[in-house]
Amino acid sequence: MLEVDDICAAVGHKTLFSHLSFRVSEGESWAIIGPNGSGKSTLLSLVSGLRKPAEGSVRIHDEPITQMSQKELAVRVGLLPQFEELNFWGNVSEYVRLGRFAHASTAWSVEDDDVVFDALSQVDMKSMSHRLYRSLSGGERQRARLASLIAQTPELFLWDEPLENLDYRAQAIFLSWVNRVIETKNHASMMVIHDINVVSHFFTHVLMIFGDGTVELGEKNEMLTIENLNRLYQTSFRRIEDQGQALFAPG
Amino acid sequence: MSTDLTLPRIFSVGLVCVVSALVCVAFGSIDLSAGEILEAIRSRDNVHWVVLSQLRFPRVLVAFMSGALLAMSGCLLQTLLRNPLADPYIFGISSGASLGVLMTMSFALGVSTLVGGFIGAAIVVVSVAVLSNAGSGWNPYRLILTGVMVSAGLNAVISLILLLSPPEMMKGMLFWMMGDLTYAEPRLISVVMFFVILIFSVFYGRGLDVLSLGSERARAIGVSVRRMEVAIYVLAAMASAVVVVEAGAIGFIGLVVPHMVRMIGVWQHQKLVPLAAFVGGAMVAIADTLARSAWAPIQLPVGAITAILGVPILIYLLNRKDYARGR
Repeated sequence: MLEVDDICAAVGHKTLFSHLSFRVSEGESWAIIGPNGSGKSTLLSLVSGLRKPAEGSVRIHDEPITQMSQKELAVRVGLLPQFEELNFWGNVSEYVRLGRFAHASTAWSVEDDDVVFDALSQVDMKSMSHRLYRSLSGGERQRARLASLIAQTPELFLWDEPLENLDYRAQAIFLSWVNRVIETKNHASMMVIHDINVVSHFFTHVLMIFGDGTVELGEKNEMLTIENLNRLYQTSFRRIEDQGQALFAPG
Repeated sequence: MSTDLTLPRIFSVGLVCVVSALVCVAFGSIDLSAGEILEAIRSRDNVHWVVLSQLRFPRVLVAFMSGALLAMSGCLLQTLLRNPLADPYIFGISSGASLGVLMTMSFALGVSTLVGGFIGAAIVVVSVAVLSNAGSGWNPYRLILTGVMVSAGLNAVISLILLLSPPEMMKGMLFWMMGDLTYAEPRLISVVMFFVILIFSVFYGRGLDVLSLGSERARAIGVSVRRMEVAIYVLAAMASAVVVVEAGAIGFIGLVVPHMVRMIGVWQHQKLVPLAAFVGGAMVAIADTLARSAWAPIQLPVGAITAILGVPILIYLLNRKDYARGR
């Protein structure tokens, strides 16, 4: 689905990563992990087309994303950035509808309404659909944001720290939705995330950005080792076995 | 609670605005009754008809169009700059036009004040765009700061010229700078701009809604942000320039009316911009009627009335807890 070839990224004079290549196929769920400022968000903005790579290329189904219009791209690749500006005066369902822009840029169809309603129920917000978006709490707002990308219905989902402000129940609901949609619809997802145990539970692949210019990636079980985690975060980790499941704890 | 009005209700608010603006033709140095107006329209050759068709109606029309363009420009700029305090003069268009008019008046340059004002406004629009794009590219904050800076500089020059100019010219200039419709005429360009912005906001309203979330998020949702921002800048600047050159810097309409319309529950640009146009038009038409009839035969600058009406409205809005803080 996604082919990334030989891309580089730098902030100022610091090289975040260079000559990075990888493939993401249908049904895969990738976690992007690494220390603060290592380039995780930058990688997402390169893959989503918000930034143009200085070298290399990003293609979706063999088509370079630089040759697509913003709207064509948004139908295929959807990014939920970490931050956005708060100038929105409408209610929750109107907020989620904004995610339908690439599908319905001037007029609504009944299908759009259905998609919005479905997205709201996936994040358990049906009962709040008429609340003003500005009046929501931080976690509720984050759920509405997740719903807006769900309503965008891209093939490749890119999430930048989507679990922020979510309680455990909301995290579990959201992560299992992601896995379900990837399996049933043959979509794919890449997620910037900091919770290693969530990664070991819900993801198929891991991409580690070490912050010294190196990147390593592969299947989850090969990647999530004590050696890699120690090196990644410059902190020592312990591995705990619990009912056949590996848990990682710092310290 | 639903945050949006239905179309029939929006049309009725628009209709109320148009009707209340039309009622303004009855008032002035001589007030006309409904019977006298109907008689004048029927006969078409008495004194009242001349007053209505030559003086009152054109005046109300130009007032309505000015208010409509200012309100639409305010809506667009508040979205472009993601700033609730943006208004049509934030880039210093009024200062540029003032300086242009002032220079044509005081140095007798041999061109009309309209031309002088337009050249001044155009120079400001282009230089703010160029200055805020130089180097690392533009963003809303840079655009606002550049505009505020340019207008501060121009205002200093304006004050200096005013101080050095003869007193009788100073009074005319002050009227113009406060916004005055005494010498304004309805022009085709303002009607054209009115419809261009109306059509733009209906076709691209969804994109404008998305743009309120910021340019990065809007691009990820599929909006061609750069193109849309250039279109907003050009349209809003042209609308402001058309008004300011004809009628001076009528204040507060472009700032207050978008907020008033959002207060009654309309925020989607496809409805916000058209409705703001009608409300703004009606407000300036009414304010101008007050300006020319309240202390008749003395005429006041309409901008003084809009500011006197606009300040309490804005303060009231800011005190509304559910609007300012979103709760």
